[in-house]
Amino acid sequence: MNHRGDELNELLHRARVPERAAEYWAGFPQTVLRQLHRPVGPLVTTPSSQRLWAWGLGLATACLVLGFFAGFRRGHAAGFSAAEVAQGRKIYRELAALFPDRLQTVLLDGRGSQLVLANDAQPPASAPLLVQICHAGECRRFITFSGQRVALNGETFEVLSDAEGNVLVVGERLAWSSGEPRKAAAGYRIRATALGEAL
Amino acid sequence: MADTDEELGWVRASQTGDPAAFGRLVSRHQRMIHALAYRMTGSLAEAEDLAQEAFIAAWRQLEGFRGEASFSSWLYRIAVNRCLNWRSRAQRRDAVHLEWSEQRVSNAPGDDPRARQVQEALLQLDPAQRAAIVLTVYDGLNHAEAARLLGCAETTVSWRVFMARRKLKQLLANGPGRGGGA
Repeated sequence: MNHRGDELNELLHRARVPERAAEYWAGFPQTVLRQLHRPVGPLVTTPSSQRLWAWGLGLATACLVLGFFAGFRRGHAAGFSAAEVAQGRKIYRELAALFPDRLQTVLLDGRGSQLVLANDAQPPASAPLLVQICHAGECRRFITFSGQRVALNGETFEVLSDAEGNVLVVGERLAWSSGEPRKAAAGYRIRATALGEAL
Repeated sequence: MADTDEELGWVRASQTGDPAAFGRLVSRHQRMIHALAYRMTGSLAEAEDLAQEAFIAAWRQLEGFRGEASFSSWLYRIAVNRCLNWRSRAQRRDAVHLEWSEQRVSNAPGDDPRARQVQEALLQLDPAQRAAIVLTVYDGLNHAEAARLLGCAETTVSWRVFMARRKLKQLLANGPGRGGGA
């Protein structure tokens, strides 16, 4: 989907890159070449001890980075603690059994659950999603489905999921994806995960 | 972005440490890299710095170029990553905005104010979203090609393009000489 020929594309193409003088282009390669420090160029040989040390350092750094990301992804895969996910699944199973194919959103608060039900039975658009949105000291947790809207502090958010299992939360002031969970936006803290695997 | 035999010769010579051959590669691709850097930064000066950095990084990484992708794609990926890292220098953004506005006035006195507004709107996007727009709109890549360049999933590119377009439409909804949305 490249949106070829649409109005926004035409508008974007009006912003042209300013032209530079021919002398600039003629001189730019030399400017680059003057900065090629041959000691770090491709042909330079380094003493083997230095090279080994550099390899060791690189390997150690790579292990640290991989370890960090492995841990990060494992934490992210849950999104919530195991107990929170288990509780979400339990609530969903019970409510889905009571209202088959009519459940749209469950708002979970400290006192219990508030339900949004469809008038007619419709198969859900996705696996159930557990989503928590926090802002300005207030948090709301929902069980919902892709395409549904939820609200916090008067702001509405659309919850979406994609084929790769990422959960997306889109509001007027933010767009958050579980694929890039560290990208906090406008003071919001969001956690989200699909509950589907175990259902 | 296919390589010619001549260009492959320059790449091989550069890999053996021939700076003159590398200079020819710079000359061939300098406009493409400058355009990318300018779209990403909105600043001629920043674009020049980033283009230099990208070519120098390419020189230093040439040993690792195996030819699986075309040289231009490989170089472009290096430049995109440099531009995305430019975000870390984003504290200069306000100054760059001012500089950019002045440049536009001085370099292109008859330029379209709407075009200026478009470039400023691009600068207000998240850098990853901006890169997705630059690659798909200005460079004409499809989402799969852009994803390969950016090293992310195609759905991620689609998502970034979707979000970027939505924000751009909002930002450009009431531009000079317009009453309606984009």
